[in-house]
Amino acid sequence: MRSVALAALKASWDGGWPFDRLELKLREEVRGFVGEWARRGPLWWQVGNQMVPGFYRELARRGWIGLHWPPALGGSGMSRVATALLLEELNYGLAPDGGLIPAVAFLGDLLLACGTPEQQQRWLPRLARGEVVASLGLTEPEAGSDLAAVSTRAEPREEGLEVWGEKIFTGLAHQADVAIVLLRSEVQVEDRHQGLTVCLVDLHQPAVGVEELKTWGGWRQNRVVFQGAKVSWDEVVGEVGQGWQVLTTLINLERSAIARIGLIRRLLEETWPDHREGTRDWLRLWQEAEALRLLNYRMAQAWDLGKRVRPFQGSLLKVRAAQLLDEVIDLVRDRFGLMGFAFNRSPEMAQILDAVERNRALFTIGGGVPAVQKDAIAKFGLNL
Amino acid sequence: MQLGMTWEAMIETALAPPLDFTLPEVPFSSTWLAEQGLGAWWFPDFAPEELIARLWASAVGRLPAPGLPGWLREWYGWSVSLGRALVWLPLPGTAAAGELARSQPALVTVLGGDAEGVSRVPVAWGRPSPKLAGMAGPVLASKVSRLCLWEGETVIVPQGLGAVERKEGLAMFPLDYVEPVDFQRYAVDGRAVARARATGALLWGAWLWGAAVAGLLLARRRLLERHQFGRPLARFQATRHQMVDLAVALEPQADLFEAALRAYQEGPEDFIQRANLAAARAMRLSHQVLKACALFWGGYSFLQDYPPSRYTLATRIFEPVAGEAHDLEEEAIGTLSRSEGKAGESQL
Ligand SMILES: Cc1cc2nc3c(=O)[nH]c(=O)nc-3n(C[C@H](O)[C@H](O)[C@H](O)COP(=O)(O)OP(=O)(O)OC[C@H]3O[C@@H](n4cnc5c(N)ncnc54)[C@H](O)[C@@H]3O)c2cc1C
Repeated sequence: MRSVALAALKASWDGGWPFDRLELKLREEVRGFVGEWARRGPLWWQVGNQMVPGFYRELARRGWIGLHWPPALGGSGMSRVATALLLEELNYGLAPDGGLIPAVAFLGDLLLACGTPEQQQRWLPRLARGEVVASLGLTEPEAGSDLAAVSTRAEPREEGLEVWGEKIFTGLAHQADVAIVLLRSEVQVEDRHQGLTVCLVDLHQPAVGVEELKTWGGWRQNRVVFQGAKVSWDEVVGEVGQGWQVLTTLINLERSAIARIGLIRRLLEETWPDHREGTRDWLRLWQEAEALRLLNYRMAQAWDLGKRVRPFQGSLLKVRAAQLLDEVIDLVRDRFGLMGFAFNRSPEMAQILDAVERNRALFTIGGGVPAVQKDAIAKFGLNL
Repeated sequence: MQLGMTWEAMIETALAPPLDFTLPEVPFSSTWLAEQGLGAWWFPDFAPEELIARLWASAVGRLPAPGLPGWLREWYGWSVSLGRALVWLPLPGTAAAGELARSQPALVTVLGGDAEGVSRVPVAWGRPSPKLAGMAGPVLASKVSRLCLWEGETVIVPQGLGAVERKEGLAMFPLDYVEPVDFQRYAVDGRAVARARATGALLWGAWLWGAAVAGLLLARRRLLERHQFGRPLARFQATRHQMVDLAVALEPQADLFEAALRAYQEGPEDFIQRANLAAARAMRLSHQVLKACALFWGGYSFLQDYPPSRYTLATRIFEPVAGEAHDLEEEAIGTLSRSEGKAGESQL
């Protein structure tokens, strides 16, 4: 009886949105592939956000890096809803999708929005073929939420910029070829939001050092030190000194892509109560997850329709997703306990839940802390 | 030390240099529980409020971890040092089982307690059941090292869970998965077990409560020291209110513990209920506070040297040891429905 009810819920989850034929076909393909991969591994909870080369190659081979990019730039010309579906299914299947979001939502989408046609031609096809791994270097020791406070310097030289300074929490930097970096190019400014520049830094040059930051959850993080790293003028995104505008677009793209709806759904399914007791709480969260999923599609669709997606809207999605995931983890924790966590299901599930629990900060803090998202929504959404 | 301290006093306590805490060796004694008709439970001659105060204080950092007095390590297996924790629950057979495990390293000892009695089950390791297969080897080792327990010392006994002691550390899994090679069962009065468990829960609850206070005080310092947007984080109303919510929730925790201790003098039923519920609340609070700490530290909460990580790690061990908030609440609900049942009978 209970499993019949869960099956009905699952089926209903698959609907609720007017997917087109291509999107539905894609979903089936992704499910098939992820199911197959799960038998080989490694899975996401084992590697965190690291890129798994074998998996990444498969994504590229199937045309899944840049699904919604135009075919002329190496994409598959699908909708952003399709990309949302892809991420959802990868998350649900605990696939090691490290590298995908930085490539698609950070670098590729950023260049589509703010890059020159040459930059788009230079990067997107290679990203789509899986030849380039990207990372994001915004955060610094003294500039986390307050990104206008970055102090990594861009010194103008004849052939381009020279970069001096330090970034932390640069996920994937140890595997990446390039980092999108926010720099201070002018120190004497009236408003701190002026004099910033976003550019693409080649991480393979000797003037770039990547060090490991040890995390207590076990997933790798990095510190990146720039000692006169070179950036040619054509790798500046947007105008020199106009980095804040580029950054606003960038973090909106980031926040729109990290809702991890598939993970929320997976955790909920794993905690489906086997008797009536506890079902009400569970159903409430399930409904919240459904609401988030639909919101996610609606936002993706807005990008598709060329509507202006305002920065606070990414924040809205991110902050709600983080709250919900937090609630779901607490529910799991409460139902299965900490150590014994899901032992009643399977040892593997126990480890998955353990990894999720230990790496909670990724969900709540990565992409910006809730306080800052809420500020953005208050200011730009509610005009408070 | 008084249990009910003002926040000022707590902050002062936490910031003061650690006590030079050397007690004379306390001879083993079972007086404390024996007087309550609980037989040979192992507690030294400490008043419970003093014990709780000590556990609280060692969590807050008032007691120097490495210099913990022998009796505490010996009888409570209690220690916090570099995020390492060591636990003994006051269950019969524990010391004997520990002895056994030490003298016969091939054996690991599993203890389980329920209302029927307490079992001591030494098992041979190396033949994991198929269900456990996924946990064996390196995975198990990494899990164990993450727990950061003292090596080769510990036996932990939450209900329904077994704990294995191995040279390289400790792991837990459901008792059904263990293949016993020898089995001894001690018949114990079920109520006595419930009471002992409640006592254990209260003690671990005290530590977790202390961890919550310590976490809050660390967060307070972080908010004052870290600047973003040109001011200390403590100047943002959002962080202030969040801190205040936690402090307000923590405020009556001492009262709950004191009431449980008063009930201890009066009779087992009320004590068990109060101890379990007070401990469950302390656990939930410590979880809430540590989650808030992670937010206050932002990305730094992801790093190994993040100051409250010691507490976060420790709660992951102590809460299951004490019985988990959820289970303690279930136990309290069970007691309530039993008393409802009894009331129903007497009406007939
Ligand atoms: C797993 C993980 C992956 C990450 N990956 C990347 C990456 O790839 N690239 C990258 O550049 N960065 C990355 N980050 C860094 C992340 O973006 C920052 O940690 C985040 O933006 C917060 O900055 P902070 O850590 O300095 O926290 P802080 O800015 O110090 O904020 C800490 C706390 O201060 C309070 N606070 C701050 N500002 C306000 C305010 N305005 N109002 C009220 N309260 C406030 C809040 O309580 C907040 O939670 C990652 C972080 C994590 C945890």
